[in-house]
Amino acid sequence: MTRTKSRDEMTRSTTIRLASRGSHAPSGRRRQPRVATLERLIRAMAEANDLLHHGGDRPDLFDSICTIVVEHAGFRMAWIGLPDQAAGEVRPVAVAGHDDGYVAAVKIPLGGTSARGLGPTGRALLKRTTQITEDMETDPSFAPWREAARDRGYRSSGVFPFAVDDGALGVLNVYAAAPGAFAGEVITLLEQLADHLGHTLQVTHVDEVRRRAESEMRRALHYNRNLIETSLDPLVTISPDGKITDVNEATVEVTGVSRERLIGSDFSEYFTEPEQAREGYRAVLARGEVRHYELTIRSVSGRTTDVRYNAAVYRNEAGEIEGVFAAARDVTERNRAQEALQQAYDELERRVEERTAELARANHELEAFSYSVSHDLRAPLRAIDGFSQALAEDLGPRLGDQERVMLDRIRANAQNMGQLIDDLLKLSRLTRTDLRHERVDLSALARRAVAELRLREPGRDVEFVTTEGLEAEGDPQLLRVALENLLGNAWKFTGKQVRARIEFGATSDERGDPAFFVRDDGVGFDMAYAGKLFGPFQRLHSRRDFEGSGIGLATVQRIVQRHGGRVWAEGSPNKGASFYFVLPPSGFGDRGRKTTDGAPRSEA
Amino acid sequence: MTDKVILLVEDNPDDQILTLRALKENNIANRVVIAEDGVEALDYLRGTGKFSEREADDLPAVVLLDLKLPRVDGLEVLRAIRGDERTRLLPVVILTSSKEEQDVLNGYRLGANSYVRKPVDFVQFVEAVKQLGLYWLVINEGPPASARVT
Repeated sequence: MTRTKSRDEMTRSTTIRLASRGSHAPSGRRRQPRVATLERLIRAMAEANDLLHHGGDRPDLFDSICTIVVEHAGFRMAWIGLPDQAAGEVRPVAVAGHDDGYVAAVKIPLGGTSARGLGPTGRALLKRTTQITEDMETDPSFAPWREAARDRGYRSSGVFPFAVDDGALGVLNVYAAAPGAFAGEVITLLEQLADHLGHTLQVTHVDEVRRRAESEMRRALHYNRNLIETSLDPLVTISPDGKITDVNEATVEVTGVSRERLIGSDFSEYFTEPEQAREGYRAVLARGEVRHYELTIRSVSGRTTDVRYNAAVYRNEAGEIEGVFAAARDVTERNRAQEALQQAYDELERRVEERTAELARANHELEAFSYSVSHDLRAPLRAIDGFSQALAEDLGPRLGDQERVMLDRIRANAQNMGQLIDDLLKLSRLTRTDLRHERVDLSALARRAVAELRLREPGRDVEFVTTEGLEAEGDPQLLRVALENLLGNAWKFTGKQVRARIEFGATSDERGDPAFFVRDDGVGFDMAYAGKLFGPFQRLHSRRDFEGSGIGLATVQRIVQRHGGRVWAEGSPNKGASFYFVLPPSGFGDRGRKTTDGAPRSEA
Repeated sequence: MTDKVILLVEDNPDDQILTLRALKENNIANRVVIAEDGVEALDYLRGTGKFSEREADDLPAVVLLDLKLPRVDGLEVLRAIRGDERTRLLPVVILTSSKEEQDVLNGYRLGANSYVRKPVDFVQFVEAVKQLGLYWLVINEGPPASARVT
């Protein structure tokens, strides 16, 4: 392979050769045809070299070269092959002339070990020199392709390697119809062509690499710049002395100042607090980065935008600080939202206070009302009762039995009403008092209540069973009242039997929550009326059988509900009754007055 | 014993009648002076106004004081009684229908000697009056007359 030459050099050398052809007379050839062939060849070569000189697309180039070699130089077929390292063989990239599938089937492996690898092309690649097959019929190394060549009328060939990228070789293969067509100048010219081809490819390759690199760089540059400009956050770079060196579209938009005016101007100019801004980038320069730095941008139109800056220093390749890169995040919305939230909290707190005051007032009024009631309603009752009695006494013997009974009923009713009033007052008081939260020993309360009942009616035979240490959280006073009511009921409704059994214990409800119960073996009740049990003044038994105003269970229910729990009952006529209640361990239904915490404030 | 006067401070005419009757039923024959409200009560005790003819030094043996009175209410009267040097030691029994804790507390705080709730049941009321009469007019030793002289 000859060294690459310039176009002029090649044309000159061609001419020189022509001039001195006499000294290169090949054996057994007529001069005339050779001159004609040579002339044609020279012209074709000139054309090809011209083409190469002007560069062009590689695939086209290869095709054009082959075409020129065949049509203009008069060869039978020409093809160009490039090494395909991956496939391990020579890959044809262009063909011209009488091919008929020859090239496709040529199959030359790289690294010549087989017969196909040691043919002319194989050797050319190995030795990196031109390989001429004078006569395909007689050249033993051409055996693998002889028949195919014969079919297509090839008799001789030349393989002209040329360098492609990275020292690999491509080949220009030319086929002639006559044997020995490749000799002397023909070889030289074709070698020169191959050379030129290689050279062009290399140059093109370099060009291409450079172009690709440039295009990559442009793309990267464009991509980076695009990102910066597309960013919705105002971005800015600031020089160490506080001047703006670059901005993006968002910065232009938020300041209302043109790019040209911005660049070179003082960064702090565009803020409501310039000193604050200056301190900001100074801090970045000192610390390397600053996060969540709050500033307010003022645009030329006066519009202000609250922002939070994240900024860091950036350095050149030498590692020196070039400036500060700052990104602003618009927090106007967030600030406004927080203000609104704060206002909402304040409003809420105000309303809660108002409501609580209202509630306190209402309670107070109720208190006053109850007080009046307890006085004013009772006085007439006293009069009714008193005068009825006085009447009975004064009339003395003149009063018949019937009349006496009637007066007694008047008195009984008056007293009854007095009791009702008392009960109602008690019930209403229950819901108004504040709840205390304590650990209460229910078993102890139960025992005390029963003890009191025994004191009042020592004649009764009642067995009381309780589990010790049953505790709950609640208001001790209220829970005492509830238990007294339940146990009092149990005591009362077992009053008609000789012996009674009352039990206080714990179990669990259908959900598995702990529940307490008071059970008796007394007169019970019909489950059909269970719904009425807890209504105020509702009674399932006649007053004649059992006294009572019917307020006890309503009281129990109200107490338990205030604790966030619930009550229910089971019973059966004459088979006793069980009253259950659940007291939630933590979290009450009624916690009294809540105080609202201060609303979250924004952090600097 | 008969010269011991009972001052009944009660505005309700029914209650007045019933109380007098209760006292009679218990054979308590002492003179009962009725003051219809706080002003009258204080007038009596001071010998002023409606009772300016009276000898103020003659204090009752006991005051039965209702709390709900027009014009000046029971607790105010009590405060006035206890505030006056002359009547500071005078036995006062609050006799009222209220059982409100606040009233009982305030009653004792202001220096009442006793607090009795009027029951609706007249028979019970008569019994209560009997006990009161027995105690305050017979059993109890009132403050000596000399203490009243300033």
